[in-house]
Amino acid sequence: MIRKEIRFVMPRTMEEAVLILDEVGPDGRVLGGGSVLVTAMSAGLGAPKVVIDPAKLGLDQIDEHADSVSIGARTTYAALLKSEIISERLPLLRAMVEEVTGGPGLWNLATVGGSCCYANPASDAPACLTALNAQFHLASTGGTRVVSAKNFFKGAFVTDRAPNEMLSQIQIPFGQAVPRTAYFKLKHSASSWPIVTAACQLVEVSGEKHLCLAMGGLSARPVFAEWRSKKPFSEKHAEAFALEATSQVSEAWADELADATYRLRASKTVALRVFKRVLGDDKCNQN
Amino acid sequence: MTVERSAKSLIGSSPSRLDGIKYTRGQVRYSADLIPTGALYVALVRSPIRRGTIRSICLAKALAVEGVMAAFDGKQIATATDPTPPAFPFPPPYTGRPVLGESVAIDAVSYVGQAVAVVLAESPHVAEAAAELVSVEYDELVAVSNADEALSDSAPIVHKGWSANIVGEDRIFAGNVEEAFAKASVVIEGEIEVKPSTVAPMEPICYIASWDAQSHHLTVTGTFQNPHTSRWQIATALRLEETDVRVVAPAMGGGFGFKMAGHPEEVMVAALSKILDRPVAYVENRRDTFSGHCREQIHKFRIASSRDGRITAFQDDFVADVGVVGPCNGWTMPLVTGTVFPTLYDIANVAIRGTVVATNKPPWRPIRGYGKEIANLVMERAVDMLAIKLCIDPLELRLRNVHPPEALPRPLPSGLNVDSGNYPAALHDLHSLFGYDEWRVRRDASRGDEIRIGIGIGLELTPEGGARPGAFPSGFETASIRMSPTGSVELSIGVTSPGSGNETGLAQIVADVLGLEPNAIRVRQGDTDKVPVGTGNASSRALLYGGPAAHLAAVDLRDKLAICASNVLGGERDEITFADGYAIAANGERLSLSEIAFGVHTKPFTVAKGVQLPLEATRSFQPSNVRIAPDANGRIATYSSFPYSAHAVAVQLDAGTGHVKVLDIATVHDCGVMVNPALVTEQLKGAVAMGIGAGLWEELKTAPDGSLLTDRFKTYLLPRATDLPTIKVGHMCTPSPFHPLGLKGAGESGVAGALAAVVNAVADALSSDAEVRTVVPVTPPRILDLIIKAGTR
Repeated sequence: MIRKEIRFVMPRTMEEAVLILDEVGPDGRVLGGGSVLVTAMSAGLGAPKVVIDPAKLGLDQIDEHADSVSIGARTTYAALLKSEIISERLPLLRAMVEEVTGGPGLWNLATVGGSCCYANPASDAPACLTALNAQFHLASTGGTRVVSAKNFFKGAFVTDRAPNEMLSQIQIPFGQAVPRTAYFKLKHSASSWPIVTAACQLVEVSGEKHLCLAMGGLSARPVFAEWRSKKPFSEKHAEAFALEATSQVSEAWADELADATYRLRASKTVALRVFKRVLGDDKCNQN
Repeated sequence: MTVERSAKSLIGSSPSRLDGIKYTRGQVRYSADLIPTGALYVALVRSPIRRGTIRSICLAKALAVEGVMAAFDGKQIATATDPTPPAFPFPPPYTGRPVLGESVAIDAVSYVGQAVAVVLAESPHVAEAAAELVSVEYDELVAVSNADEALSDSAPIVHKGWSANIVGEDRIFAGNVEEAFAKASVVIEGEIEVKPSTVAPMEPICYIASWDAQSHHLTVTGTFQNPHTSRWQIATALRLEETDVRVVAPAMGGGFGFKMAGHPEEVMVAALSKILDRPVAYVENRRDTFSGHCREQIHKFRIASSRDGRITAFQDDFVADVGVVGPCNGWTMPLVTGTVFPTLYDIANVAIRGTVVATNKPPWRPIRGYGKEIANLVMERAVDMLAIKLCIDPLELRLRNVHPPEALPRPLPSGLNVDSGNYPAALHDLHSLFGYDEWRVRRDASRGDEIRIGIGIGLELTPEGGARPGAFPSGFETASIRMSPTGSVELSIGVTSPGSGNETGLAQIVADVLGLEPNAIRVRQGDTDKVPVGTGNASSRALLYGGPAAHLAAVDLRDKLAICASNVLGGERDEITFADGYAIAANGERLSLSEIAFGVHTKPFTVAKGVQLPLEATRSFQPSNVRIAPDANGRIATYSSFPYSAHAVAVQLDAGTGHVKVLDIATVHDCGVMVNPALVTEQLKGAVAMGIGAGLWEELKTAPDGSLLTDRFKTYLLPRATDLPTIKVGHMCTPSPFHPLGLKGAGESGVAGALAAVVNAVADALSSDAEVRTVVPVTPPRILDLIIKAGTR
């Protein structure tokens, strides 16, 4: 039950939106799809005075540029699933979106931008976008600044976004070579939050192989590791890489569904599995 | 097997549900849809502490909020109410002991979430916002946080007026257990800890009370599973005559026991409406629904057998932590648990010691299975552990130990008299339905792999038709039938539907007698002003008790109609048959029932000659397989019927993560004669889903301070459709020799067997990593912990 009256605004321009946000400060919230914000307000958790719905700002576009794809902050999971640009250029993101919990009711509503701004450690988007080296465009009355995923996700439910800033788009780079990718999501059952996720990508850049892994659910912020080599990576490396990546974590995340011990234990299996899928029998990796 | 009665046209058929289209189109109105304009909404201020005294309550800030019409603390409510009487009496030696009967706390609190004040406003938003402004000062006291603490000598006493925290005890014995264990070749010991879980119905609790001062009449509409019990409790607490109170239970979005009588809000809302002389509504939020926990208990068992697998003795000692005892009967579930042992097995020596204790937790809410599911879980885990020890296939070991059909009827050590069944046949049917041999091959091939298969069996005995002396109401149900002057047939009955479709089954029974179609019968349920006194929805009794009552009433009406028909058509009344809406004489001449009804009302001296008018009949059914005279062990038998089922589950276990995926489920079920097989099948599938959920995922967790952590569906994990494979269902029919229609009750059963089978399947996949101690639900963190402790990974 939403207990207090709220001011609900649908600004027509970004300038208007950031001006309102600037005025109301921490009492303002920007609506994504509402799957988190509206639910929380209904449960009496958090009582914003102003809710800004960016529905009229055209932030639901997916555009391909020369070496990147930009995704409007209000793009739904359903739109991402439908997009050929995403399937062709960002197969790792596509694989992640396919694993998002819920049904059409959620996919048609919830947005990747909203999920990133919420920054729940037990969610899909933060780690995947970290693996993809996504750039977050944050608009305010002072202009727009761009923050990389590694700096955007600062902790559990904490991002680099200031209260007067609004996410406008997420820009994700892609290379010319087709990447080899794997996304693995461990969860207890269909309705469960992710417990541990792993997003892994292998690309070739100027004759060098770049292997990266980002894990979600394991720590308050995504765990990231990267390896570069002129020589092909082998499946034999998988175990050592998995250990290297997971041993970064000194304090694992815990929530109602899984404690830190379990997450750490399971993370090794999860990391190993994505490495094996990316590194195993890989022509791109072998040549 | 078939019986003569099931050869009739409608019994054993599955016509469309009478209200199916309304449900499908969203035209059904649930309680919260019926809140009248102008009603005041209740928001509750709940205790954040487990135990303490209330130093002060300040309502001023809440009262100052625009739109707030009133606010009260417990003392103010108590001026208009007496404590609510318990729906279920304490068994001796505790008879008459007080329970926490006030709807809002007075002076002290006993659990987190107990209501300490109420705020009423014109909108639920305002009420909830204002409730946050009520300030309450507590002096916190040491709380009893678990069963061990409750039983310690130095424990605080949870309930005022009690001398200890023991709520009840049961001791059940057969044969000589000590001697049998001493002589046994093989003895296995084990332990099962069951964590708290809950029903999680789609529709939370809702009550709407409207006091009419003019006519001195109170109507309470809401999520009532036992309307007459609630009417009695509300009338008693409000110092009203029962006839001054009407309780209405509209369409329900799932009951499963959770909505049985005795929620504090029932009386609270009624009292507020009377105090304020306005309609008052309470709609529970999901978080509060999740505080309705149950099932928390620890069992320590041992089982003995000969080397060739003949089970000779079984012993179980358990302690259940039921929280605070209020007017609702959730706390009685562990007392039922003990009575089910040793389920389907022929075991000569049995000893059960059950202890139920009170702690500073919310009161238990009843749940489907009603304690019987836990007895079956413990029994089946014990048998499986024994099978592993003996190196005998678990299905084969069960075949060697279940009662043969000719041994039935037979008494359980608890005194319950099991009616009928063919357990070996059920196991054989399950074997082929599940594809047991094929699954064994797949399981064996995956042994030792990181991704491996486990298979589990679970047998279930579910006593039904509870008729405990002293409970209100108890062992009978009543049906009234009447035919209108135009021939419409209305059945009014004291059993209710939680959304399960039992009204269709009742209509089938009546239609079968009168030669009508089921959709010609109007079934009235859930309105204390319109239906006879009855239990409502509990213990699979709608068809089990309501069915024969409806049948008896319909036969009485048919007898009257037969006289009328013979008055008009000539011939003997005994030769009149009924089909297709007509009464048909031996010579083939016929008269429609509407013509008869109209004739009765317009030409009573000819058409109704020799008939005791009106065209109505009221009959009750009392079960025969209930015994109130104590047996040699001093025990009575309060369940009349004994459906059973055999379940098999195959799971895939990921030893790297502890993750479990359910691959296959098969269930063979015997509830005797099935009035409507489709309804039985779908209820059974729902029960299986609940059993799997309870076995694998569903767990309520609380913080050390007693606050609930799992208060939403993202943290309390129910199975979704994609979590479960197609559930294969097989039916058997061994009619009850004690029931006039051969029924044994359906609707509740199926939870226990699925729960036991899935837990056994996980243990099977774990193989040597499984421990003698099982914690349910067997979640991935617990599974991975076992694997790592065993050092096999």
